Amino acid sequence: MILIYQKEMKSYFHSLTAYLFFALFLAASGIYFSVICLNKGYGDYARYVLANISFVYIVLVPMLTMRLLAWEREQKTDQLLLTAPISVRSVVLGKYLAAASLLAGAMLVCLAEAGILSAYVQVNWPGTLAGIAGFFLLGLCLLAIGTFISSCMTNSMAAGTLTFSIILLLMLLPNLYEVLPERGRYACIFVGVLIGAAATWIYLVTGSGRAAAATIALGAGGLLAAYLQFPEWFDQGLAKIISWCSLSERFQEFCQGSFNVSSAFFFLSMAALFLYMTVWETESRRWF
Amino acid sequence: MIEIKDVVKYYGNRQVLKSISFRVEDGQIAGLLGPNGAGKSTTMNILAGFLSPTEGEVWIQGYDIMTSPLEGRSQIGYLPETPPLYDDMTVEEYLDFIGRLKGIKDKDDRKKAIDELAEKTGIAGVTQRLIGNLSKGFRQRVGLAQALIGDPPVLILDEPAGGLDPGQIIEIRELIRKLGGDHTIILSSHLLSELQAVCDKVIIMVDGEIALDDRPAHLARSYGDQGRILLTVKGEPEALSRLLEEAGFVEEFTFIPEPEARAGEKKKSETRAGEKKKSEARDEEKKEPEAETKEKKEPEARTEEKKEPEAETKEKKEPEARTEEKKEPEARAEEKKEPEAKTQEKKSGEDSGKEESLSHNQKKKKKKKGKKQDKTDPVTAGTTRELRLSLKLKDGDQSRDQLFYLLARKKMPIIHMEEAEMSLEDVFVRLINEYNQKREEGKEE
Repeated sequence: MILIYQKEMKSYFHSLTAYLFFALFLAASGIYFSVICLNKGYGDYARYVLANISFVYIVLVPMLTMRLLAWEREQKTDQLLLTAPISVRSVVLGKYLAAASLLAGAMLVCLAEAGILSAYVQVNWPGTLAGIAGFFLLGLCLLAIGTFISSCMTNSMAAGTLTFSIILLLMLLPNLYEVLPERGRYACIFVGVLIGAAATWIYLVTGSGRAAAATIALGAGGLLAAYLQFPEWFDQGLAKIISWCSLSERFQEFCQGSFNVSSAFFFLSMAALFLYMTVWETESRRWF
Repeated sequence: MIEIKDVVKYYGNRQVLKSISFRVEDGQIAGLLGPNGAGKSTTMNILAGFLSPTEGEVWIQGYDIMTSPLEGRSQIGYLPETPPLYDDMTVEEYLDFIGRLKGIKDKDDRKKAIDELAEKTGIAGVTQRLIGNLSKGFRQRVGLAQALIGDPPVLILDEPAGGLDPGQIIEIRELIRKLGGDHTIILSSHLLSELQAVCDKVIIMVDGEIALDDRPAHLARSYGDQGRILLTVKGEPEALSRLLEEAGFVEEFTFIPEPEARAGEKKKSETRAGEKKKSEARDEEKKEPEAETKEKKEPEARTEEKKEPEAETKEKKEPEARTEEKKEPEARAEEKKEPEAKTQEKKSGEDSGKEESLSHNQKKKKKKKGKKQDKTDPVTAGTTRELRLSLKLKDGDQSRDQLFYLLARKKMPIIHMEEAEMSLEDVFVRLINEYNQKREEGKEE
């Protein structure tokens, strides 16, 4: 794994990727930093700078992850890695950690900026550190999603574009709050649709109609019971669901200064989930 | 030791491998060959652990590649069809990476191994160059070096000589041969002469199945025309043909016309009738220079033989004789290159004999051709001279003795006798034709 990590880091720095990454990050954070903090004098770095620049992930994450696995498939070097005495898990983790290291580098930049700020203004250090941590965790989660997408595609360009689109959508999701219906029944319908989708997937994977039917039965039963017993869960249900899933929302909490452990856990487990899916996807190619 | 048992592979709904089984023992070099699309690369990918078979098992050095992948893969050096190279690394960096990947922990060990390998594969001069800047030949050799790093006991090489110039092909062949004894190698190639020269066993795959799995020397025996021999006899053409017609043990025979150019080729040989067995393919190493000079003389001989039909002005020409000679150029056109693994014990020009035997191979019907071929000799019919014939005998060994005694009794000494051999190319072409036929018959049904 260390070997793959080193190779990937070398590759980042020999191609332009690492430099472009830092350049873009410095530019984006630098502009906000200069205007909001240095010019206007706001000391709360995290609240004002980080909260506003999370959109930059839409470009930075594809830049780092698009080549990770799709490139190997394009150049047929995956034949080398998958026939070497190394596990797929090591390969995926090595690559992911290389990307995460660059992200950590970006965090150092943030720390540096906050440090500069502290020379002029009283900086709210706990809040700032919480914000930087949140930014990093958000980044880790998005990198994992990017890695997974890269493992699905054979073309690194396509991987990059798809990652871009998905992260963009994720960022835009909170805007839906205003248009969502508030009544509980719509949340029910939504959960019902999810149960149906799960049942279909189970049927496709296992081929057993009985398992699918069982899923529907259990799901519908549970749903109905919950609705009858705890109707207040379903009020504003859709909004609640979306806000639970929403990465940006959780990130904003961090920026406001509160280090929410459950959100941290959420980010890390999402990252872990997508990495697991990446390993699964790459391994399963052997059977195609 | 490589063992593959009952492996079936489907790509979606398409079946690409239909129950493949074979075994390569320690120290053997196996050649995998077949038309494109037969499933060779798929088989190699499965052996290396890149793909999984839909059914069946693969064992490398005793490790099941599916259940103990890491141990199994550590025994393998794999060179895929496209060498897996990272264009943004230098050759040295790349080989260092591979070395570490394969488990050579110590830096100095790696450096030593890389230097050795660079010498062996001929890339010593380009180690500091970026792989992206290398020519195809160098890329191929870096790929080969990558497979050899760490000295894995099992080597799986998919077209190791792809894109190399003829000189390099010979170098690679030598390298593989040297590696043969202590490594188990399976390689796939389209250079049939290559395979015949290097391999201990040849596995031919057609359409996802194994068609033939044997030592190259046995191929002619198992697949070729059995009982066909080439004879050089001193005697009268007319008398000889009468004799052979009347002999019950001779199924058919043809005279091989003697062009003038051939006279220079014949080297003095002793009368040793009754040699039967061919030497093993490895002996041809010494015979290579000979084979090459013979190949040079062949085009001359061929043009000579082609001129014969034109030169003939005889009225009575056997139509068969003419078709015979017409088939010769055809036969020659099919032969692209005389395989170098011609096993010869005698030094004499039997190349024309080979061509003759090929044209016979095309005629699968067994006719007794008792037509007098001597009339095709433009010069003299009826004088005692050296004659060359190709005979098909019934019942191999016994008939050979009978023939010998018959000719000796009639005072027609046998100057040279040998078994006609079927080259790998012929086996290949014949197999392909058979399979195509079978497939068409299957379709008609």
